[in-house]
Amino acid sequence: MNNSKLSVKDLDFYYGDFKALHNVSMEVEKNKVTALIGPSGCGKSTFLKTLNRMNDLVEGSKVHGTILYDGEDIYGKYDIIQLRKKVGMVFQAPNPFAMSIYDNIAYGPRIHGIKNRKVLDQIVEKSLFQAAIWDEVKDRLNKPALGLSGGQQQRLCIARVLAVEPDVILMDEPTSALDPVSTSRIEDLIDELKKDYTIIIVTHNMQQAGRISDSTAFFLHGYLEEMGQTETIFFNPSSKKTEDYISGRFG
Amino acid sequence: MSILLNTQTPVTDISIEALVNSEQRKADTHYRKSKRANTLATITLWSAAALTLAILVYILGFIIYKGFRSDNILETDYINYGTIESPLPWQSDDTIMIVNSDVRLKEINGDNLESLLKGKPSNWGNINEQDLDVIPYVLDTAEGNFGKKTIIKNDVESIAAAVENQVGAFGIIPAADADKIDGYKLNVIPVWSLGIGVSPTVLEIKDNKKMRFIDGDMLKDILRGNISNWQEIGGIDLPITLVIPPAGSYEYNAYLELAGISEDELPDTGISTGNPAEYIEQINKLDGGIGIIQITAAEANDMKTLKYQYRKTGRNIQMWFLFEEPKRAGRVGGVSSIIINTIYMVLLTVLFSTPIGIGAAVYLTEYAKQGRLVKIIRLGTETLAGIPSIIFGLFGFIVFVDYMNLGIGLLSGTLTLTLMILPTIVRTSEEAIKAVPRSFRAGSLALGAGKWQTIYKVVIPAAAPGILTGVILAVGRAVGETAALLFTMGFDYRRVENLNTSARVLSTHLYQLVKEGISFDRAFATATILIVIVLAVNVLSTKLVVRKY
Repeated sequence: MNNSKLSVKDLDFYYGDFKALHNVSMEVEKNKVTALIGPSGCGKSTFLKTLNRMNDLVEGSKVHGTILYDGEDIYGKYDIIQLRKKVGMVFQAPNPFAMSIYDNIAYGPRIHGIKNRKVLDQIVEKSLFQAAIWDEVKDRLNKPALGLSGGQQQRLCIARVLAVEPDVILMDEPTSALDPVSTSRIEDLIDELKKDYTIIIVTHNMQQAGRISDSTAFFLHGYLEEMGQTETIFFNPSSKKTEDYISGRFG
Repeated sequence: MSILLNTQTPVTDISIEALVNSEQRKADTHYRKSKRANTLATITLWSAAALTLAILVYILGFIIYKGFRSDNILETDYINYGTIESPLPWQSDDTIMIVNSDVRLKEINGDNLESLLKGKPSNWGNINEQDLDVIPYVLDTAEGNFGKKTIIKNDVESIAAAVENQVGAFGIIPAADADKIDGYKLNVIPVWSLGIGVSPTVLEIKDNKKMRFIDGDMLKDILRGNISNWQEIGGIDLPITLVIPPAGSYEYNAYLELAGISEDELPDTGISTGNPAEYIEQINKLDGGIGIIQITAAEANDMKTLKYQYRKTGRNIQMWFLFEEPKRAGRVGGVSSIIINTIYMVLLTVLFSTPIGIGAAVYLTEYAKQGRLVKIIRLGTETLAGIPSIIFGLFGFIVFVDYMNLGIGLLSGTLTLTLMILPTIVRTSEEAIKAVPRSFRAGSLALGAGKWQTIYKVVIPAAAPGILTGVILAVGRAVGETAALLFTMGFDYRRVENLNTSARVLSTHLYQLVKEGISFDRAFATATILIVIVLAVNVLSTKLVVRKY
């Protein structure tokens, strides 16, 4: 329990009248990669978005239950801006802003009040370096970010998240729009990042979950069906449904 | 097989074959028809596109051609023939007219020269549309009636030096002293002094016909003896009696040059005379008589003259038109202050309308609940965008000019324009903001940005090209707007001093030039400037925003 970064208890989530999550409870461990798997529409992305309250943007959404981040309830008095700063998010499709590479990375620090150019320079370099894209873009920091390839754009988005010095990084199918080479680079990157960050990743790719995650949570029809060490889930699941899904009988 | 299922009666092999054949034929026809329809559609669409393009090119081309080239048919008492050394009736010797090189003058006729010397128009404007004071110089030996302002000098060199240095100065000097003005930077102007003298019989009206004018070609034919009856050039049935000027006279040389013949080729039908007085008398006395004559001589002898018609072509818009201030209702000078007024107007309009328009668009798309109220507002803006601009003008007149007591002037005009173009800006900005991907907003919010930060730093910059397109469209409308300004902005063509002064802009200037019949050349020149400004704004702004990212 000491190692728990995020602790979810009895979480229900509604889109209007539709109940998307039923009574989900989960502990997310620090400096580990947690994979969320499950068939489409099972609620794993919804669950991910509740963790940094991105679901607040959806009109008519409701949350019951508690989510503790470092022991504090994020749906309580926790400042939403601080939360999103601490719990960063990488989206399914790369979404760099229509700005230069530099401005994309500096965007986060700037909105959090850093104006000093030297400090920004350092942050940009460090973030790009951490996201393993520095060597590719260091000579074109002032070029449009939208001119990069898809894989580069996604690593840029990861760097953009790193630039605000988060604690937890949420990734919503970060490689689903990428080719195998880019995917493998992102996976290597995730492996590297977990030393410093806690990562929660939604993926449709079972092999990916197997390759990169330490623990895996299987969602089905809005319920958390099973959660445990990745090896356990993959090779010795306790639920029949988990086994069926992982072995490809449905999904 | 489906064919078979559809048939009601049992079918034999033969009927199947027939059926298949008929279906095949139908399919062939159908194929041919659809192919023909395709071709027809292509041709129709292509012609529609071509027609549109042709009309556009024609309109733009026509206006710009007229803007750059003037082409007018003029009728004057004078033949467009002048020499540098010319006889002036009030001078015993031939003279030369010299003019300061800043005065735009290519030729002048005797009447104008005489009135300039008398100081009657004290400004060049009447003669060459240039706003400059006239400063005439003459020698003390010169004969004639001169005005009070005419400066008299006692040697040619000092006249030449004064004319060289004084803007608006001109002088007349004896032709004999032509060599004395060598080396001075000044222009020498040919003077038109000849007209077409005719006997009164030529101008009689018979059978609803009357000789009204002669053009260059007719004159040439007459002088060469190719035409023998006035009837042939639109006059009455009367033989032409050609009178040839006294040999060696100015008129005689002009005759040969206008006819393009040498002395030996003079027509035999012509009546020669050696004496100037007799020459004039013969033109007057002989039925159908015609001769080339000094206009002043004709006036002095009560001789009738025929109008001369010629085509004057030249450059229309020139640099000075852009840089000179307009004078006398725009007859004289250029449009410099009007261009500046236009720029002020556009800048102010953009200044007023862009923040309001973008603000409204952001509110409607990002903040407002997408309910009935927003729908009503949208409908309202769309309706406003379609209202004729004169109605905005009327509204502006009542509200801004009268009720708010702003008076007719720049502020009232620009506020009216702002109202007029605001709907366009709101609509296009809304579309542009809506077109920004949701993922941009999500990305920004996920980094901990607030809603306003996201809109201000991510959404609006990303929507900027679209918003700018809307603003440019609106500016294009504003620049060319006339009706909304008629009642609100006024027509003062001086440069505006403050927000309440009446200001004329290019579009209202164009309107005035045409409405008051001042000058079509100037109207087209103004139109060309207007088009160029709109084009420049378009090109410049697309260059500025061309997707930096």
